[in-house]
Amino acid sequence: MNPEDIIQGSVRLSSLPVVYFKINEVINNPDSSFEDVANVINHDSSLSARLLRIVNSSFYNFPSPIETISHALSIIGTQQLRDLALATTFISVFRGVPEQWISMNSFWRHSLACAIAARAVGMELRDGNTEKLFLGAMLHDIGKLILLENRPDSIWGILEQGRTENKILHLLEREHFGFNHGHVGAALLQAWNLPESLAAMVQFHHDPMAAGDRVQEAAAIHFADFFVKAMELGSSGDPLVPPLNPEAWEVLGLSTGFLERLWSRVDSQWREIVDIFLFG
Amino acid sequence: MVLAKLSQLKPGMVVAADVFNLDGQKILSAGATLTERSINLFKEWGILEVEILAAGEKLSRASHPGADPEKLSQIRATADRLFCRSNRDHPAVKETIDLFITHRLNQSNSNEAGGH
Repeated sequence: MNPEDIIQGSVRLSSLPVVYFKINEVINNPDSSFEDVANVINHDSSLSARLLRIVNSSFYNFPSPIETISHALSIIGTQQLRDLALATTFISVFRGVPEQWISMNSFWRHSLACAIAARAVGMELRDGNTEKLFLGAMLHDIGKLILLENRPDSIWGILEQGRTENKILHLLEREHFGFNHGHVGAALLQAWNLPESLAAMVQFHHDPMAAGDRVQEAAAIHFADFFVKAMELGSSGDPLVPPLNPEAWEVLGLSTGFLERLWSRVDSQWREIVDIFLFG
Repeated sequence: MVLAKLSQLKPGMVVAADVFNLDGQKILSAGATLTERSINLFKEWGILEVEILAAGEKLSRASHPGADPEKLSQIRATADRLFCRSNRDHPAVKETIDLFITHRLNQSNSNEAGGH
């Protein structure tokens, strides 16, 4: 069995929001202006409202309010706003996943906490593409949702074993399937034709040193996942904090002094972001 | 952590524990770096000794001065369970566990304060 077998036949394969393709098309067209991109986003009123709430939140802390999408595009950049737009639409893609074992609410709370932490790491490292990290971290566990939907018996057994034997889930998945949920998530992103960098972050978040030239991004997601599990924000079914890969920590080159600032930053942004993404 | 006499203090040293004056007011927090000004302030306040970090030593938040010992040991036990599969000897993991304990202590203190 391989990860592609698992996503074959998944109802999620065909559920990527149309607006994403429209945004991508207009961004990739060299003749497009900010106004063209803004028009596509404005066409989806709930999307544009959510995006405006995000750019006006503590997430950015701009000194004065941003009232239009074209203003947001000019300040944040089209790629970054596209990544945010995709992030906000993802929760609806996974509506209806069975919740006996993991509530979708706490699943996304964990994912969003991880996304905020990964973005903060990117900012600390002066990475120009922080919203890509946000999106990658937000999607890091979607493979679990695919497994819950398509291999429920196996994954329930794994969750139960994790709980009773205090074991780390992705290691149990590897024993059982020969790969972990990161690989399944990456297979889905590839099937959706999303950027390879995104798939790499998701695929290697438990094994960042295997990510080749994506090692820095994968290490950021790996560390963010570790950190927000320690913060106990939401849950993706893992009852324990996994080990931190020491080599990944070296790759990031962060100081331990950063962690206190990171804790308070995630703590201060999380509720607002959860509110916008889950209830906005 | 070493106890240094006033005459031994030099700018750049890091304070290992909160410094209080004789009235019990905090005048410098643990982790602060000494300056000429803070050393002069100690003189004015009649502070004779200050705990400072030894060379290469890191401030331990986990000593949690003033915390209720029973509460602290409960929270430590929770941390032991939550991090039992983690590499607890890694500096970043240690720091994260310290933060976890600090945060839990703050939470339980503010819950109590809210209850009155």
